[in-house]
Amino acid sequence: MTSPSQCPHKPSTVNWLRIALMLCLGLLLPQLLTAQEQHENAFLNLSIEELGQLDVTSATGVEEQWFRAPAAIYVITPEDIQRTGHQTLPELLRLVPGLDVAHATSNQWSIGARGIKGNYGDSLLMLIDGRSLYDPLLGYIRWNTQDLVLNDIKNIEVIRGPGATLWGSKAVNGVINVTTKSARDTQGWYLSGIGGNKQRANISARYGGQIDDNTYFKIWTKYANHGPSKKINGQDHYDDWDYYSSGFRIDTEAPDNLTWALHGGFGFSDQLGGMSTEPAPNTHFGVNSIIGDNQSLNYFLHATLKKQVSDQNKWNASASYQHSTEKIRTDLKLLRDTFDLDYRHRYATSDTQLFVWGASARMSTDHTYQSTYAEYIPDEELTYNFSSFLQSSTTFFDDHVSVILGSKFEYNNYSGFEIQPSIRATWTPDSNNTIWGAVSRAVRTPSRSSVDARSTAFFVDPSLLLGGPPSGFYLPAVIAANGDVESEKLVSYELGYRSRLPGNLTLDLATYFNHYTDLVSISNTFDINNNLAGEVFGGEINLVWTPAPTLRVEAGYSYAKTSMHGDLSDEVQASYPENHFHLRSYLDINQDLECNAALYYTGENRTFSADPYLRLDIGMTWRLNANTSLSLWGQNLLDNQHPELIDVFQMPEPTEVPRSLYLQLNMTF
Amino acid sequence: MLMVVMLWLILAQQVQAQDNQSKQIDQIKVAYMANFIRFTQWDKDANVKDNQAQPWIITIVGDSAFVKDVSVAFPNGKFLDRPIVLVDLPALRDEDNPIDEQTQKKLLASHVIYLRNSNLRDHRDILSLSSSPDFLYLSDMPGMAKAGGMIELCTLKTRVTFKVNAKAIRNAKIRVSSKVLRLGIPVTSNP
Repeated sequence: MTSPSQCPHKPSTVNWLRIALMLCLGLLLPQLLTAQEQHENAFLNLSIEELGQLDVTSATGVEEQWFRAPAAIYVITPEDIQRTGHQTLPELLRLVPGLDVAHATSNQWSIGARGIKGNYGDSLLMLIDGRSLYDPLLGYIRWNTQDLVLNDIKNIEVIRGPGATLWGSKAVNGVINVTTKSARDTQGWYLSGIGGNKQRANISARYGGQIDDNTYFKIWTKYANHGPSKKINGQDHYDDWDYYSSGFRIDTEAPDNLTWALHGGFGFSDQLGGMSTEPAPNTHFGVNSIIGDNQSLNYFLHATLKKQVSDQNKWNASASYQHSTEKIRTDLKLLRDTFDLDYRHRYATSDTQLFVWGASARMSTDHTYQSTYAEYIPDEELTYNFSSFLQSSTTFFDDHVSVILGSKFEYNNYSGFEIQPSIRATWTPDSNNTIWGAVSRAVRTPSRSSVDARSTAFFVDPSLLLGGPPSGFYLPAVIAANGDVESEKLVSYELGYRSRLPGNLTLDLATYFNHYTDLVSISNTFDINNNLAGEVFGGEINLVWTPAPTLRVEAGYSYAKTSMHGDLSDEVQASYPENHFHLRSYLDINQDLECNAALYYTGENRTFSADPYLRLDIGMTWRLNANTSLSLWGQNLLDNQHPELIDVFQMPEPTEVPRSLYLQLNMTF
Repeated sequence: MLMVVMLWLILAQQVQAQDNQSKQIDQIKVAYMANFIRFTQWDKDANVKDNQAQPWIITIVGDSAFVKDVSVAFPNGKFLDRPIVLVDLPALRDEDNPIDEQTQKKLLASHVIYLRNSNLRDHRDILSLSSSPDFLYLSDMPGMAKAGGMIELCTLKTRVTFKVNAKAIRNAKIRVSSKVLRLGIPVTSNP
């Protein structure tokens, strides 16, 4: 029998007091917190660029993406793009501490991160407005088939280290996320023209207009003609190239916080360079190199839909179709159509708990036409990849500690089921300091090239073994995929620290230890296999100093030590320069005149015997009036020419990057 | 009963979260204002003096609550080692009466005028003070930059950003760094 005082439906006086106290706390606690917050403005020391990066999105109010992020993030802003003089997406990545950017030929770049650099960016994922540019057929990013009106870029967010939990199996050593400005932000005309010795011509035009009160559009077109690199003797090489591209974007803000955007465009590039491999007459061993003409046509359509149900609940979905036709060297032709679907949902169950989950699908069909010395078997293939992810973000101790736990679950037709989990944590003791750490697993699933491709590396005359004269009969040395290549795997440990120091100084430090297994390699018998493994450790430090409103100085240094064992271990170890350094300054001489300079140091690339090099770029910009500016840039000013990567597979003779000058006129109206 | 109490607590937290969010947006706007002051120089022939001995005079028109937000934002009431003097003008004038001389003087003595929760009439009054003003004119009212203002703070999707009317700035006796002009969304005045 229950006594009246114990009856659950009749609270005692003590219980009533407890309830009243809780009610008062419910009402007063937030007020107390607010009262406490009112005596400080945590954003007062942030720069304009940092304020522009704040997201007023989460249930906890404002989320400062960069400073509190538990990852090594670097953001390239429109100011950086305008004040560093780079005119292509890969060149802009030189700004990122910890990335190695090497200009292999005039139309080829080799870009790597954190001690691993394979074929032209095969361990990095690049997205433009969420659209993946990773080529599932070739297994890397074709940097020379992507171009934008650079003034269209809102920012480039580069995550060094694994991003696989959110972005999937290609985001092994980094994610490059390019976001373009909406049509609403690019109204009116923008015209830009460049003329110079290396950037021979680079002309961009964009027009943005309004369809109705809530719908905006823009159309753009760009033509770029890039001059050749240099041979060692100073003569022009055979790798100049043209790129023509056009596109559009429509943005609509529908009722009920629903927005959608439709992007479309095409690009065509025509590049000299690329070497055909043929037997060399009257020799025992070797290749006869023929410069070929590479052509690339690509077009795409990309639709995004975003819905903000409430501050705590929002989702976005996207669908895209991409086509590319690549004519590589003399007669290898590759056609590819790729379809992508993606859905992401962000839901905050409380001020301290946020869930993000999503699902995506990618299907790619290709048709390949074999050349004499390269082919895919079978010549047609459908590849697919289905994935989902779940990530939980919890904050503790009044937002001072945050723990993010999640995993990507992926199924693809080459390696089957893959799990890519990560745990990340930040501790923000105050608004000027953040310490973060992460442990994550990422995989790079096989590409069609590593599973189905066969190509001839060189030829051997059997009479070489007998010691006789060349017989005229040659056996090809064929690099052949054996069809059972597994995913490359990475387990990464990261620790970082960010601080706003006195004197307008910002410090960003990241360290890492990466353990790789099953890296794709080529054996002594020219089989493609997974017999390569190893470790990389290193760190990146970046300092930004703004001593006066008219001057900004940035300095960065990165170190990466690679230790590999297995097939090609020496080559992989040596291919990534251990040391990188950069120093940049933006100076406003007066309201209408600015001077910008950048110094980049890259250590030795021992594989291809490219010496360390120091590169100096200096530019002056005059603002003729509110709508017009004129810039003069000198790049690679310290020497006539220097090698950055000697790629014997792309060019028969080493290429060197020349000193260049160009004049740029920008107009908006 | 416990359920009711918990629901009440959750509701209170959610209302508070929304309130915190708008407070934080206002704090970001104040931080933007501080940056704009940092990146502005006043001409030598301007009425408003730009030297270390002078306080920053910031006039808020239309929103006394925002004056409080600004006042608590700056440690020790100083910015760049100069004291801040806040002038609170809830309204510029009475209905149908012209703007009085004292209010005009206050406005013209300002380094910064921030118009907020006000109306088009106040905006026109501020524009008519001078064809070559000495002050930096900010607002977070939609369409203000296009209507001849200098810098308009706005919320674009999930972020607080700003629009810049470069022509209006160039007409003033102030020099705003090209950095601000470049980072803002450019707009031109309505004809």
